Amino acid sequence: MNTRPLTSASDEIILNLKVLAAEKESVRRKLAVTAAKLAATAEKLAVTAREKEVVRRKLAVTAEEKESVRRSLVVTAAKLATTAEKLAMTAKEKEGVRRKLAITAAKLAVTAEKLAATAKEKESVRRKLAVTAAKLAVTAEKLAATAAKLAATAEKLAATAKEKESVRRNLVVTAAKLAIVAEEKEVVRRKLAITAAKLAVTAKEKESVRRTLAVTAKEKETVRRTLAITALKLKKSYETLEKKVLERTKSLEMAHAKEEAILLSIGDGLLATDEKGNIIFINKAAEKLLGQKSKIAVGKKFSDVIPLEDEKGAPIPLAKHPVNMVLAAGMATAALPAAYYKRKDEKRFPLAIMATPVILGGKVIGTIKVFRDITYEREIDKAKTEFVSLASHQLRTPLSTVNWYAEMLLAGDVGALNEKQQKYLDEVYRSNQRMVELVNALLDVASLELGTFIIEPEPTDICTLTENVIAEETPQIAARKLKFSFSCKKDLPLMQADPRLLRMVMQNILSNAVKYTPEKGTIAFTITLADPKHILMKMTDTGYGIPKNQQGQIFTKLFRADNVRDKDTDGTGLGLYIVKSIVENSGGKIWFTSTSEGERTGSIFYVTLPLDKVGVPAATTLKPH
Amino acid sequence: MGSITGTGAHIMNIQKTILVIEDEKSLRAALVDILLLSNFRPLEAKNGREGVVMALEAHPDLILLDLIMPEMDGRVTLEKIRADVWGANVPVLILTNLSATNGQPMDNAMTHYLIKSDWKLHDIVQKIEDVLDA
Repeated sequence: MNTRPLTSASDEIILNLKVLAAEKESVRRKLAVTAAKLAATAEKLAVTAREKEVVRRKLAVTAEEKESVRRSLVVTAAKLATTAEKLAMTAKEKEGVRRKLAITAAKLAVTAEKLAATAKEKESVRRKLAVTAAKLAVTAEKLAATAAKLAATAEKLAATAKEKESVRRNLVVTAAKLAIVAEEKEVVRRKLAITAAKLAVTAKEKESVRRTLAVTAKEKETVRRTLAITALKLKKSYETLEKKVLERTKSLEMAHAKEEAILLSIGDGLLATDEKGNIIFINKAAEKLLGQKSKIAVGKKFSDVIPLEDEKGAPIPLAKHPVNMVLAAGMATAALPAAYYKRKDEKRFPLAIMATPVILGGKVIGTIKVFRDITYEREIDKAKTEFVSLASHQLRTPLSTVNWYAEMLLAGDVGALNEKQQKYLDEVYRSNQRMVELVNALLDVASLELGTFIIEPEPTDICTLTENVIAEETPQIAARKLKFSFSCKKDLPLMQADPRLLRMVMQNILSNAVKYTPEKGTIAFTITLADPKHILMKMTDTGYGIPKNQQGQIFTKLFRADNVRDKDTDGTGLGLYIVKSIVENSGGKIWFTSTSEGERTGSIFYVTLPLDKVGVPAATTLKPH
Repeated sequence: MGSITGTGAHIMNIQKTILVIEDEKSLRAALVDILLLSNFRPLEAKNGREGVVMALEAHPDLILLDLIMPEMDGRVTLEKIRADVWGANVPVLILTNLSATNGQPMDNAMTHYLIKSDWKLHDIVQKIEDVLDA
C-alpha cells in the first residue's frame, strides 16, 4: 500500500483505519471466540459446580455414613476388646487344660510303664506258677506226710488214752477185788464161827452120846472108838482149818499191802471218798498234783481239799463236782468240760477227772476219783487247731493267686486271648479249681479227724436245706439229662443239727449220684422218718454201681472204685469218708446196696440221722480210719 | 467251673473308693487291677497297721480285709476301725484263706466273710457292688 506515495494522507489514514478495523475485527473475533470459550468454560464450570454440589452432598452423606460406621466401629472395637479378653481367658484355660493333659499324658506314660512292668511280673508269675505248682506238689506230699504223722500221733494218743483207761478200769476192778477179798475174809471168819458153834453142838452131842453109852456098852465102846476117831479127825480138821485161816489171812494181808502199794504208786491222781464224800484215801500222785499231804487230807470233805474253778476262775458249784454227781446219780461221770484247780502255790492247771462210784452189795459205799493234769493235752489240741488253720492259709494263698490271674486273663480283662491260649488257660484254671476242692476236702478231713471242727447245732429244716443243695446241683443234673425226683415227708420236725455238716452229707451223697449216673439215667431222692427219733434218707440211682469186690472199701479215705476212675477224674475219694465220719459221729448209720454188672446197674444209699444232735460227736475226736 | 464273662460297664463305681488291706503282693495287685477295671478308686495297704491309718484318713466306701497279716492281723485291724465313729458302720469284706471252720462269727452285719480260694474276682466285684447298693 505504501507504493502509492503521497497520494493522500487520508488514504493512508483510511488504510490505516482499515487495517485497524481489520485488526479490530480479528480481535473482536478472537474475543468472540474467547467469549465463546469463556461461556463454554463457564458452562463447564457450572456443570462442574453442580457436579461438585452433587459430590459435596454425596460427601455429606458419606460423612454421615462414615460417622455411623465409625460409631459401629467403636462398638465393634469394644466388642473386640471383650472378645480379646475372653480369648485371653480361654487361652489361659486352654493352657490349664494343656497342662492337665500333659499331667494326664505323664500319668498315662507311668501307667503304660506300670502295665509293662505288670506284664513282666505276669510273665514272672507265670514262670513262678510252674515253680509254685511243683512246690505245691511237694507241699501236698508234705501235708500228706504231716497228716499221716498227725494221724499216727492221734492214734498213739488214742492208744495212750486206752492204756490209761485200762489202768483206770484195772483200778476199779482191783478195788472191787479188794472188796471181794474182804467179803471172802468175812465169809471165812463167819464159817469159823459156824464151825466153832458146830463144835459146841458136837460137844453137847458127845455128852448125850456118853449118856447113851451107858445104855449099850458095845455101842458105847463102838461109839467111843468112833468118837475117838471123830475127835481125832475133828482135831486134825480144826488144826488144818486154823492153819488155812492163818495162811489165808497172811496172804490177804500181803495182797492188801501190795494193792495199797499199787494204788499209792499210780501215776494219775487217785482219791477215794466214803459215801458222804469224806476222803479216805489219796495216792502219791494226787498229793503231788494237789499239793496236799495225805495225812492232812484224809478225813476231810473232798470239796474242801479240791476246790474246782472254771476257765475264767469262777468256782464250780458243789452240785457240779464229779464226786457229788456220782453220789447223786450212782453212775460214772466224765470230766467237766473245763475244770481247773489252783494249788496253794498259785499254780493253776486244767484237770481231767473221772469219778466212779464204789458199789458193794448193790450199795454205793463211796467214790473213786482219778484225775490228771492235762496242760500238755491242751497244748496238743491247740497245736492241732493251729496246724489246720495254718495249712489252709498257706495252701490256699498260691491257689488263690493262680485262680484270680487266670480268671482275669480268661475274662479278657487285659486283652483277648486266641483260641489255643483260651483252651490252655482253661485247663490251668480247671486244674487249679480241682486243687482248691481237694485242699478244701483234705482240710475238712483233717478238721474232722483232729477234732478241731467247731460244731454249732441249731434247729434246722432238713427239707429246705436239701432243696438248696439240690438247686446248686441242678446245672449238673440238667447237663447229664437225668430224670431227678425228690420228695421230703411233710411235717418233719426240725432237726437239732449243725447245718454245715448236714449240708456236707447231703451234698456229697447227691453229687456222687449225679456224677456216677450215665446220661439220661434216673435218680430218686427221698427223706422220711426211720422211726420217731431218726430221719431216713434214701438215694436211688441207675448209675455205674460199685464193683462187688470193692464194696468194702468205698468209705475208705482216698479210695476210688476202678469203674469210675476213668469216667470222672475229678473225684477226691474223700466224700464218702467225710459223710461216714459225720454220720457215725452223730449217732447215725450209712449203708448201701449196689450192682455194677448186668443190665440193671445202680446203687441205693441209705443214711439215718438222729433228729437231735447231728454234728455232736459221741467222742470229742474222731478215730482216723 | 464255667466260663468267665468280661467286666461290664461299671460307670456308677467311679466315685467309690475301696481300701484293699492285704499283705500278699500278688493278691493285692490282682484286687487293685480288677477294681480299676471296674472303675473303682482302689487304695492299697500292705498290713493292718497301714490299713487302719488309711481307713481313718481316707474314709473309703468299703474295705477289703485280709486276716492273717504281719504287724497287725485282720481281727485287730477290724476292732480298731470299728472303734472309730466313722468306722463303726463302714462295710468290710473279710477276704481270707483261713478256714471258715475256725472263724468265730464276725462283729456285725456290715462285715462279710469270704474265702479267697472259693471266690472269683468278678464275683467279689459283684459282691462289693451289692453291698454298696444296699
